[in-house]
Amino acid sequence: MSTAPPQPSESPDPTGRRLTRRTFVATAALGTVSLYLVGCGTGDSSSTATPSSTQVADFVTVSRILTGVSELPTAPAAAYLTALEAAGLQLSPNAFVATAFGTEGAPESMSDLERMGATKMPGADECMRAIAGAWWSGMVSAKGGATTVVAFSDALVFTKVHEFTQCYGTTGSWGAPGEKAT
Amino acid sequence: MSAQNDADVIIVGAGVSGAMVAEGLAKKGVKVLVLESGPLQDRQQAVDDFRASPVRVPEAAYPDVSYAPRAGTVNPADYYVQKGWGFRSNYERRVGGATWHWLGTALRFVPNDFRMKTEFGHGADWPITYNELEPWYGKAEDAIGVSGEDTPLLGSPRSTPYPMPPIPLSYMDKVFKKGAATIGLTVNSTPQARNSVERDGRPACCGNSSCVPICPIGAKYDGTVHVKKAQAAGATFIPSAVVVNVQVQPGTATVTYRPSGGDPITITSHTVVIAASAIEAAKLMLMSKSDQQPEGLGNASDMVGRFLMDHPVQLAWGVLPQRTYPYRGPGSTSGIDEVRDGAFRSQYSAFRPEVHNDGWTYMMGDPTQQVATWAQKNDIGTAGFADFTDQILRQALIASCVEQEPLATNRVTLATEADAIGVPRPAITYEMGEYTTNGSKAARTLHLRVLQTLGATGVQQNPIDNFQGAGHNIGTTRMGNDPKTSVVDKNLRVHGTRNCFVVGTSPMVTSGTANPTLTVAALALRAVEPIRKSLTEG
Repeated sequence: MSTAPPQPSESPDPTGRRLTRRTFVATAALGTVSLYLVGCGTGDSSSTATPSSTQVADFVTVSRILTGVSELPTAPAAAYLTALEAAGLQLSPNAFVATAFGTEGAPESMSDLERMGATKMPGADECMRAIAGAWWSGMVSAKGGATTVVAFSDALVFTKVHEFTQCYGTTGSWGAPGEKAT
Repeated sequence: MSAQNDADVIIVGAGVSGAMVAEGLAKKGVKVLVLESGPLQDRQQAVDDFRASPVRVPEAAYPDVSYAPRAGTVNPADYYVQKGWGFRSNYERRVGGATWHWLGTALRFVPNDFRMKTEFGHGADWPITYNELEPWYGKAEDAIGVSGEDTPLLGSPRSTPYPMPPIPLSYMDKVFKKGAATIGLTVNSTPQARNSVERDGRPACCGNSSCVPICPIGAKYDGTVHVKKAQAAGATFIPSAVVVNVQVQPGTATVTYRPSGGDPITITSHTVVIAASAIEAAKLMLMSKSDQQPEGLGNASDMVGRFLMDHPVQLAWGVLPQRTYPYRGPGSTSGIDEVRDGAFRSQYSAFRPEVHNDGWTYMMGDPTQQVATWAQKNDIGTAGFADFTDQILRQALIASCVEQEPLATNRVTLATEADAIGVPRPAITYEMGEYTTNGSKAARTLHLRVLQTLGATGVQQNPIDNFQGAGHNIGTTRMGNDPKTSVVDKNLRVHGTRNCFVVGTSPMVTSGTANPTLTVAALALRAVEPIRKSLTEG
């Protein structure tokens, strides 16, 4: 199967713009970038300070354990962390990550998180689920409030099922078994 | 025709039917003006809005506008003033109409759908037969571009071939087809207004899997196709023009609209065509009162707004033993047609079970919403998400559009509550009725048989009284020969007038089991010549 659109076919648009598969893919990619910015700009301004590169790197390390995915798309990481910090969780993700690292360096497994006492902190279960859910869904829900789409294409669920609004392949290619177009 | 009029024909509504009539008339040299209550819609903006929406319901791609509100999927009562069970379907008020987010299924009605009263003692007969409409079905399939397989199993005889070869079955379809065959049922390719090959300046479907609510590349037909064709033929479209009154007198139609809900503007034409959704059409006609029309336009017999129908949807879902890889290709590409017609229709309504390629989206939201929910309730980490992945790749859904019996008590009236610009909201009295309820029960039984045959586990169904709407708003200006029991005649002309017509889903007499758009298109094409002739009839 192929994801490459065979021809840049044009389709009509009521506003007079001409869309092609190629331009759609390009503009969709831009849309994804803007979603990261939306994620950075939401929530309580007192808790939406831009995280440091170290905080983001440590957040990614812990996120690998919680999501079960070693190769995370890191581009939206800062936006996820910012949105989660603003989500009103009982336990701050930064605090959870800091405890997980402790003085022994980067944790590598759920056992490490438990050994460092991070999983026993009040609100830890909610915090861990929020972090994992954000990476997999691309969305962060504020406690008792709105849900923000931080990322779309980078949501981990789209590594398992086809990312809708994107071409899958040639007409009928979905007639064969397969998780994703290759 | 009067040279002082703003147009020969004013059309209210720029969905499929309005745009098709506009094109047909404009090609014959008629001066056409189309007023659409909602705004223009940019395709790429719809894609962006859909992706950025955390709740990806059909209208997620189409932000509401205050001057042309419509019901939402989650809470229709935000707009409808509900009475009875509550009406579950919605529509779009924007250029192109609800076809922006339709699935694209383009089935014809079966012949008995036109003679339900005679054959089965339920509902009513249409004033036209299937055979009379058949040539127009062919023209409609050509106009909107239908991909289909010419098989008698669909139950609708045809005199012309489909314009395009069928959209190939999905892997999911093939699994269902094999299983259903063991219990004597046939899974057929569904005719779809979706290009299987490049045609009419539109590309072939490449499986974006987002047909509802937006085809990013325009492979799926929507009303904007004919908006552009009508514009090319000379028709003028005015978006964001909320029509609030239509007065019809011999030789003159007076139409009042409010641009973006602002101060009213009154224009005139010889003939007027109401091409709004079934609910908005009824609302507008009921609002259009005057000394000459004290009960509203075409409502001398209190028939406007009655016989509102939908296709109450029955869903059954479960987990299959093997991976079937949903979330690929169009939302649905096959269905079971044996239960669309038969002697059983004297007892209970017909239905069409459709195999879905979009997993559990209908009930649980799209995969992003599903995994967000999973993370809150189930194991996370490597093993937890492996379980999620395994489950989501084995999800199956079968869904039936159940025929709705037309009931006079199911109706649209004007609510005392008003929208943001002071226009009355639609009050809707709606219930399913015993005949349709029994059809839903039959659908549930068949769904279970199919899923059990496939070895599905964890099978669930929605309760009959908690059905989903199909987005098929049908009825409210019934077509018929008798002005006492109908609103328009067989040419879709409002009884008692010579220069007022209604096109769209509202004149449909019965709902059958087919999505209404293809029938709407056929009726619209058939109405063009009677509308043109009205211009010479005074």
